[in-house]
Amino acid sequence: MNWLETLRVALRSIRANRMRSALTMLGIIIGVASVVTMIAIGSGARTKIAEQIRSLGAHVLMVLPEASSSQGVRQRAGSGQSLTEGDAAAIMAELPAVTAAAPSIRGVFQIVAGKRNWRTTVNGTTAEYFVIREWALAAGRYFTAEDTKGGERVALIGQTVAEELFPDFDSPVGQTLRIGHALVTVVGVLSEKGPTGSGRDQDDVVFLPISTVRQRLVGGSNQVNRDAVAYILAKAVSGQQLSVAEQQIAWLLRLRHDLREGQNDDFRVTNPAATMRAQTASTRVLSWLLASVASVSLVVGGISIMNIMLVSVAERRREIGLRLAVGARQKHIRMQFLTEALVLCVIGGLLGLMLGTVSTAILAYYANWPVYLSPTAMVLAMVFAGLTGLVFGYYPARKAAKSDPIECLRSE
Amino acid sequence: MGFERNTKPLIEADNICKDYVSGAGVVSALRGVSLAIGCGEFVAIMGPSGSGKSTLMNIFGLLDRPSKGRLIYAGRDVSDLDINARAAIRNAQIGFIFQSYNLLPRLTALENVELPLVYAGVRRPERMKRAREMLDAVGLADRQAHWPNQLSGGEQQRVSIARSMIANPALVLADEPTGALDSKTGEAVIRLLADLVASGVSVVVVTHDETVAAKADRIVRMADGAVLPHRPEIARESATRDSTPR
Repeated sequence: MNWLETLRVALRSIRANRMRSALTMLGIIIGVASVVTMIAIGSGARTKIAEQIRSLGAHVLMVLPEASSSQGVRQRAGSGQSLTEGDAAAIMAELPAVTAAAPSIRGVFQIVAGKRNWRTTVNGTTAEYFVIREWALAAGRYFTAEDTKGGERVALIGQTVAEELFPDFDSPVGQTLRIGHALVTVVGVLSEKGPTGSGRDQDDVVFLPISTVRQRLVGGSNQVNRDAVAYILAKAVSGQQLSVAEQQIAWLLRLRHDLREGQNDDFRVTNPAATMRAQTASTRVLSWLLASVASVSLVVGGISIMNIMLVSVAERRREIGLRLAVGARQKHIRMQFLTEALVLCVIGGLLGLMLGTVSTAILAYYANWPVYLSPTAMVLAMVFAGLTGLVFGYYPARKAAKSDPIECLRSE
Repeated sequence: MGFERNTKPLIEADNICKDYVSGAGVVSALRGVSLAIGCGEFVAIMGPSGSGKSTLMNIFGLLDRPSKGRLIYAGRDVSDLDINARAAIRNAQIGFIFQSYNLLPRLTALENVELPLVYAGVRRPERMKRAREMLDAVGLADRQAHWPNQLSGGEQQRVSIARSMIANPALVLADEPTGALDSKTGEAVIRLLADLVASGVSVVVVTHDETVAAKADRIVRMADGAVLPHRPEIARESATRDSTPR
């Protein structure tokens, strides 16, 4: 009796008890569907965070001024004016663990191009900024060190800005923007970065040389320190050098800011990727937790398989007796019932996979959750369903195989 | 010719005892039964219920093992074979016919007939071909695709006879094959059993029906777990029948 034969017998008996088989499978269906959905949610969250880390650029550190305080009232983080362009230049020039550093100042402006206008963030920075963030060009060129030095009126625009202001142009490169009273020329369009973790659109931005922003836009009339910057981005030479770079930056800044021992830092060096990775770790724990709760339902499904298989064995004692009498070996009977349990679980698993895919799609669509349905997770769920069939089908199958043919034939 | 057949036993019970342990104690179903069935012999076993004839049939059919004594099949002691080895012998050598037919309700007539060959590892086309021949031989060629519940009692029993024959067994054991049938359909069944004997198969039938027993080469009467000694008139009767060429 080959496996094809066994399979046919199993399918037949499943078909003969359609309602019962369907109810039995329900546990497995729900189990597999929830495992698949939970894994999809978990790995969706992880994939999203990984993407964010990648969009940030590799081994990037962010230096923020410490919150300013006046007469004991502390302002929000980054409100201080302790960091300067000079700090950024020094970090880049003097620290061996740092390959590049870029200062940045920001403001929100109404931008006009022809008959269209758009309100967005203007970021004044240096050419290093794009190296640090590994931000590629879609068209045109970056601005150069000369542009920065000379305060040239050049701009790089993000994808969103390009779409909003220049929907009818093949390329906005060479077009003119009016920002406040300043006219600037678009020299390049940046490639798409997508939203940040908190949902901010990274492509909704205009970059100008930092000197241009100071001279033409913010003017600095309300600033105590004309040289102050909002933050400095720094890139460590490698991932291993990140913490070294962090220490070196802190040491250099304390030195430059004339801070004595006992005085608090007036800046903060943060590692955004590490923060995100910590988030990943907690997401991972959560998704394992969810998946293990889901697999409990798979186990419950397995128990219902065992239950029904035991009923089936008891109901079909005459059949077992007859098969044994005409020469079935114990292994034939065992295989027959085991195959039946396995087929129930595999069919249930496939249905569960479909249900899981649908529910994942619904969550992604309506709740707008990031989901990722990996083929590995699907295969894993199926393997689990199959194992459930084997584990919980084994005892009833063994029981059937060990039956005494005489007693079976005598039973009603 | 008849005598020659009887001289060479196919299966032989040698002083077999069978005890069952029940709640009340040990019950002896067989107390030292010795009985040889010759090749191609037609033997009827008769006796009141509880006389041990079903137990003896189970032991002859290798469904059960004797507690004491030996069972010799084709010259080989099979009393101590394990369950799977006995299944293999049953599969290849022994056919079973039951009072209640024991057809599997979810298989067609043809598939029911095929069943022993499934476990013999015969491939499907070959199985179907042989099963068709068997159904043809029992006169049910037009009932192949019917389910057991679509067949009359007599037809079901003929299907089960076809099933018992399909593996070309040396021995067919029939437990009350006509017990659930009216006399006319019963006769047809008896005729098929006689055909089996004529083709060289040993047939042992347990029956209450004297007309069935009358067709047998030999009648073995049992009571209280033992074979009764030959009663002269019966011995004479069967001897006469045996010597009559058929």
